[in-house]
Order: sequence, then C-alpha cells, then structure tokens
Amino acid sequence: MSVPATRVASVAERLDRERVKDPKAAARRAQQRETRVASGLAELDRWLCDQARQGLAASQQAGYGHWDDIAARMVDAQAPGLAERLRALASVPYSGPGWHGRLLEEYALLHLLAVAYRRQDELPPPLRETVRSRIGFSLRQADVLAGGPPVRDHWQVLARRDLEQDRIRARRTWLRGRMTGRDALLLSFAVPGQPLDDSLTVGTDADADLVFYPGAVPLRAIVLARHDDSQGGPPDGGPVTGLLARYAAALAADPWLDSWPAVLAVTPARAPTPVVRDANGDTLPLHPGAGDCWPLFALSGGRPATLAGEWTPRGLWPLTAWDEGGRAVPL
Amino acid sequence: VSIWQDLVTASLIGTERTGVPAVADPGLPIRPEGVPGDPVTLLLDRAALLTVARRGGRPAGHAEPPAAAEPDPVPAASPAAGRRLARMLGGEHPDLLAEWLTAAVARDRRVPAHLLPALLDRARRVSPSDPELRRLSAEAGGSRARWLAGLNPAWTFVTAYAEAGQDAWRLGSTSQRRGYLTALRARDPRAARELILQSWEAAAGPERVMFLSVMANAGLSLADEPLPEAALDDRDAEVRGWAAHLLARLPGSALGQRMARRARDCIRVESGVRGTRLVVIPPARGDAAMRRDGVTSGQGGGLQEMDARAHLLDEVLARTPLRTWTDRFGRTAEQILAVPSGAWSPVLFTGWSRAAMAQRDQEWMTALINWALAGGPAGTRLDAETLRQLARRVDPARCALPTTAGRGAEIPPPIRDAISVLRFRYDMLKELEL
Repeated sequence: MSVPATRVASVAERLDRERVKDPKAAARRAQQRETRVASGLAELDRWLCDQARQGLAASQQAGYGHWDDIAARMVDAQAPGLAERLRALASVPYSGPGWHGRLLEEYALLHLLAVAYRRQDELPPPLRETVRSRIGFSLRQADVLAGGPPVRDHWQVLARRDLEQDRIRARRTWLRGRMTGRDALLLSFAVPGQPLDDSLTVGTDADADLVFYPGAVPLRAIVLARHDDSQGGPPDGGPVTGLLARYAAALAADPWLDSWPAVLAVTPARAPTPVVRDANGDTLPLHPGAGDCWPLFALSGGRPATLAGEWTPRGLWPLTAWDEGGRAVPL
Repeated sequence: VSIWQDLVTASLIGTERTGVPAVADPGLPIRPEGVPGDPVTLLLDRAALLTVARRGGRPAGHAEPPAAAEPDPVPAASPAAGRRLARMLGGEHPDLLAEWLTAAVARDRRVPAHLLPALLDRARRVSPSDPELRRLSAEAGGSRARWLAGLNPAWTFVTAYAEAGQDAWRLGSTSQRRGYLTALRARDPRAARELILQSWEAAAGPERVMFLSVMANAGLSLADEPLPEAALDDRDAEVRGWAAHLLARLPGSALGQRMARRARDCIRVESGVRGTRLVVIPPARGDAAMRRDGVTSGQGGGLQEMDARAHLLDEVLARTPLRTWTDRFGRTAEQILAVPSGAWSPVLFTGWSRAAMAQRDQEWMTALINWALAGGPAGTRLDAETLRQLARRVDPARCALPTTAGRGAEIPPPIRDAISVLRFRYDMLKELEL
C-alpha cells in the first residue's frame, strides 16, 4: 500500500485552511489569550494554595463538583489542558489506598505548571513548548511542520489505547522506529458517531515520514507521508531497568510526563498482585486499573513474551503482546 | 516514615495548622533564596520536587519466576479461526461456540492462548446442567487451560475434566463423575456402557438422566439399545423421555421399527391426473404404546382436533427411521421433497427435520434445508425454529446457498438468518482447516 501522494496533499490542504488571513488580528487574539491564561493560572495557583492551607482532607467530602468548578474556570480561561487534568482528579479519591498522596502529587504538579508558566521566559524554548502544550495551547500544524525536519523510518506500530473524555474519544498510537529507535505518539480524536483513525494496524511496520511536535521530550508526532506498510514482527523487548532509566531521563526533561512507552521482554506473574518480571528478576507492577490481565497471563503461559504498553506512575498498562508465532495480540 | 509521608500528612492537615517538613536532599537542593515566605507554596514546591524524584527514582521490585505451563504439542488454531472465536466470545453467534470447539478438537487444533480467559469465563457461567461447553473448553484449551485453572479458582472445572480418574468416579462431585464418564465414553464406548449398567440400579433419577445423556452424546450404537429400551418403563418421567430420545436416534432400534409401522400408512405417493403428490393421513389418536415410546399426544393442550392430529404426525415422523421413506417410495430425500404435499408440507418439514437431526442424517438435512432455502412449497410457512436448528446442524459445505445480494428485503427473516448462519459456519469450519 503506497499512499504518500494523497497524504501529502491532505496535509497541504489543512495547511492552506490554517493560513492566517489577518496577521494583526491574529496577534491581538493571541495576546488576549495569553492574558486570560495568565490570570487563569494565577487563580488556579491561589486555589491550590487554599486547598493545601485548609488541608486536603476536606476534598474527600467535596465530591465531583469540587474539581468541576475549578475545571470550568480553566475552560473559561482558555486553558483546556489544565481543565482536563483537573477533571481527571475526581476519580482520585476512588483510586484505592494512598489516594491522598496521589492527590498531593497532582496538586504539586499543577502548581509546578503554574510556576513554570509564570516564568516561561526563563525556560529553554523546548521546555517552554512543553509547558504551553500541557496548559492547552495547541500548535498549528504549519508550525509543527516548520519546527523540524521529518523523520523517516520503519515505524513499528506497537500499541494503541482508546480513551473517552467528555464524549470525545481519543486514540493514542505508540510507534517506535526500527532504525532510529525513536518513540513516537500519534493522537487522533473523534466525536461520538465518528470512527477513530484506523489507518495504522498494531503489529505492522509503517514506512513513514513523521514530524514531531516541539517539546522537552519530543514524543507527539504527526504523519506527514506514508510510503509503505510491511508485516513487521515483534519489537525488541528490553529489561525493566532500561525502561526505568529511560523514563527517569525523560522525566528530568519533562516532569509532567505520566505515560511513557514501554517495550519489555517479561513474564507476567502474581506476587500476589499482577506484575511483570524480566530475565534479571526485576519486576514492575501492572496498573491496578488494567484489571486481572488474564489474556496476558494466558498468552505467556509463564514464559517470557514481548510486551508493549504504557508505563505510568501507578504501574504498567499492558496493551500489546506477541505470541509464540510472533503475532501481535492487542490486550 | 518517609519525608513524602510527612508531606502528605502536612497537606491533609493543612499548613494553617501544621508546619512544612523539610525535604532532605532528594538530589536537587532548594536554593535558600528561592524559598518563598508562604509555607503553603513551600509545601507545594517540595511536594512537586519529591513527586518527580520519586517517579524517576522508583526502584524495580523483585519476584521469583512463576511456574510455566507445560508445552502443548497441539498447534494453535489459525489466526483467522482465532479472530472468529474472539467475535463469538464477544457475542456473535455464541450458540455456535460448541461447534467451533468440537471442530477444533477433531482437527487437532487448540484455542489460541490469549482467548482462553474469555472462553473459560463463558464456560463457567454456563449452568452446570449443561456441562458440554465446559468439557469442550477444557479439551480444546489443552495444557494452557489447565495451567490457567491453577491460577484462577474460578476455572478449576478445567482440571475436573482433565484429571478425572477412578477417584473422580468413586468420590467426585456430579460434574466430576460426568467428566470421567464422558471421557471414558469417548475413548471406549463399551467400557462406559458396562460402567453405566453396573451403576444403574443404585442410581437415582437425575443420575440416570446423566448416564443416558452421556450415552447419547458419543459412541451411540445398537449395542446400547437394551438399557434405554428397559428405561422406557422407568418411574421417572425425565428418564423415560431421555430413553425414548436416545432410541429414536438409533434407526435400527425396536422403537424405530415400532414407529415405522405407525408412520408407514400415514404418507403415500399417489399418481393421478393432476400429477404425482403425497397424500397424508395423520394418526387418529395416540395410545399408551405410543406414549411409552415418547410420543406426546398434544391433547388437552386446547388443540383443535386437526391440530392435535398434525402434532401427533409430527411426533411420529420425528422418531421414524428416515430409510422408511426412501425405501418405501424408491426415491431419494430430495426427490421425496419435490413431490407436492399441499397443506401438509409444513408438518412434514418439521417432522422429517427433527428425524434428520436426531439420526444425524446429512443427506436428509441437506435436502430439507435446500428445500426451505429455495422457498419451500409456495404459499406455506415453514417453522422458523426448525429451520434455525437445521441451519446449525447441517454440513454447510453441502448446502446450495442462494445469493442474497440485491434482494435483501424480499427474503423472509428466518431464511435470511439461516443463510447467514450457514455462511458463518462454512467460513468457521474452513478456517479451522488452515
């Protein structure tokens, strides 16, 4: 399947639509938005400080409205990224023992974001882009494409995960370049009744040009052109310590990073909660939200298998495993 | 207690009421001049620092390797077969699961490992009174299914089938006894029959039903006849019903011959000026001998006399050896169905279909379903439930599937459903050959 011409054409079309008609008006709008976001973040930081001053114990009784109110104010302040983070907090009190600690983590990272935005002029440009994208400033694709040269590789389609938030469905597709070893994340969105982008199949390789969004840890990308697809095969699974080291290095550059691609050669085990274990005996917990993960256990049969997933602060979310025949099995 | 816990505790109480614990060097010192005056900002700053430090510095855990499953010499079913099984477990034609599993076992293929949890969960939910799906899942799941059963107590029924030895027969639960007997029947029908004969006298009604159903499911032959023939006079109505059902499946049985005598004169071929046709005269009424052979009268159910007689004909036909008709008329099943039978054709369709399914007669099943799919006799409506069952039992490779393209709306729903089931089964069995 070779589709580069149509792909390039459709990207070019999108760029045409986005071309700024009136630079002066656009600059004025951008300035207005900065002002609103700045006052929104100041309000958020005051709110966070109030919480910590009065004590988070009160949040337990507060219910969903507690975070919905402040999230709605962030929507008004044109900071949708913050609103999304805040709405997600409503599930924290139901996430099991230790939730107070997780709530403090999230508040602290939001506070860090507010501080970072306030001091964005002091930040190196890639980190500034990371801060702005976490707040919810989205880049025009023209700017993404202008930002860096395309990276051509045989991208292994490792895994995908569909999430739903506020009736918008989001699909995350994780890729890894066979030649460059680079990780990439494609995002696509769909409103109800509309299908999600299905052009990449987990377990295949796509020879494609990707362009990465700027950031301290460039991960998100868009497909500029597709050249060819091939069967692929299992990726190289690494050890647990390798994953932890890569994640730590990434966190040092982007402290808000909370999902990181993992490709491991591991055996699932129950110890007694589900974990994955590598050949060195090192283990990582599976994410409690991922459930029993029985299909992963069944596929492995107590032997090492290649596993791709998302590493998060709460554990590994398993997404794809490769069976004895080398076939990708979405979990 | 860690510094992080101290910070969490302080945040719970609130900085209004407590101090902010100092963060001892987690790798990055906080410059004193950067420390703001407000303790709450201090708390959040320190929490942010520690959050990232803890996430980045998280150590790996350690565990012993888990016990591995025995290697399974049986190859997994093809990827296409696996994808179809996944769809079935997701709710598409779930009633065909048993056929998928039976076909896989017959072709020496096992269930793809990652689908076992969904299959075992489904088999577990099936009521214990219909243990066939459990047995088939255990068998088609192979050593991987047994290994999984060791990890999840909900799936222990798998090992009940796999490890059913003599002890299971003597001491086991009903389902373990059944598992043992089923396995023995598949391996050595005669030994299973001997075991049933030895245990029959001491067994109560429900267990006798289990014996007969195990007998019926595999290895049925005329050598099995004496036991069910005697059980036609059992005290328990359910045992009597199963015995009659079993004998009706044995075309050479005495019951079959009694039925043939009753049925013979009900249908005859007449050739006249209007061409050849089937003339049908249903039995007038049921008698005690017919009831003993499992025929239900249908009377007292508020049926009109003619409906009651049609019901009786259906019951008799369903138990009559199909060779009765091919021998008597000197015609094949297909040729018999081609002879017009007027208003009686729906009753003949149902009765013969039941007989064909019980006797597992593929020639008749094929002829009947092709007849139904081609529209059957004009102006009559064939029983949808019978058609539904036929479509699930006939060999789909032998059927003449009419094309449905472009005339979807004109095809009656039962026929459309039957065609879709036959297509589904055709593809399913093909994929299991891969």
